[in-house]
Amino acid sequence: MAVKTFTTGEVLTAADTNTYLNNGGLVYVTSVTVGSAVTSVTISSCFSSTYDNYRIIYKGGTSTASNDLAVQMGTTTTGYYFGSIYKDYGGGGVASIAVTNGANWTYAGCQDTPNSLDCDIFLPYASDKTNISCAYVGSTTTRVVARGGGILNNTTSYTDVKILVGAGTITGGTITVYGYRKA
Amino acid sequence: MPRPNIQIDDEVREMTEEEYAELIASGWTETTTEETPTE
Repeated sequence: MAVKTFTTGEVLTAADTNTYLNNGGLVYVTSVTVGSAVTSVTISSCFSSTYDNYRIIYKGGTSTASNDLAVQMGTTTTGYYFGSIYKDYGGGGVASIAVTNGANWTYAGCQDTPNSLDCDIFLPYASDKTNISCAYVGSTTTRVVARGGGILNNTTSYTDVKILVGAGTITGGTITVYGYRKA
Repeated sequence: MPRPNIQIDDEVREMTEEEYAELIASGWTETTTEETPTE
């Protein structure tokens, strides 16, 4: 979907306004309000051929446990590879953690009060390896900040994404999916 | 004792026994555990 450059005096039609006003770089796809005491949230039909790459943001809500939020593509529970470099908010050094052929991208986000998930998903709908890139921001002073990423080692086309807790349950907040507009 | 909830889009429901067994097998616990390693 291209942009349009209007010229001086050109008539701004309703059709053009509706099309190009919404033609931003990051386009809202869908959102889900997290319900009460859930261990996972599946957002179905959020990936399609409309976009190649997506952004998922979840900031808010509460958690009964301090743990990590994992991201799973569809119903696939194998083939996830993930690496992360992290640092606590204190004087500790930098460390790393990895997932090798795991059941999900385990350390994608921070499960706490508030919950925090900030990630880009690349090529989920394409018949290609889906990638993830995450910025992990610990929600309390005892947590860590991290930068991670990974791949799902298959070429499956996905329409759904699942956010999972590591322990306890989460309540509230909104998970929003955006698409990166193609030209 | 009720099983935890899961959510699919806007629907929140109690897990089935099978789903709960899978959840437990994944290592999930009810209690507070900080999985992200800290130095």
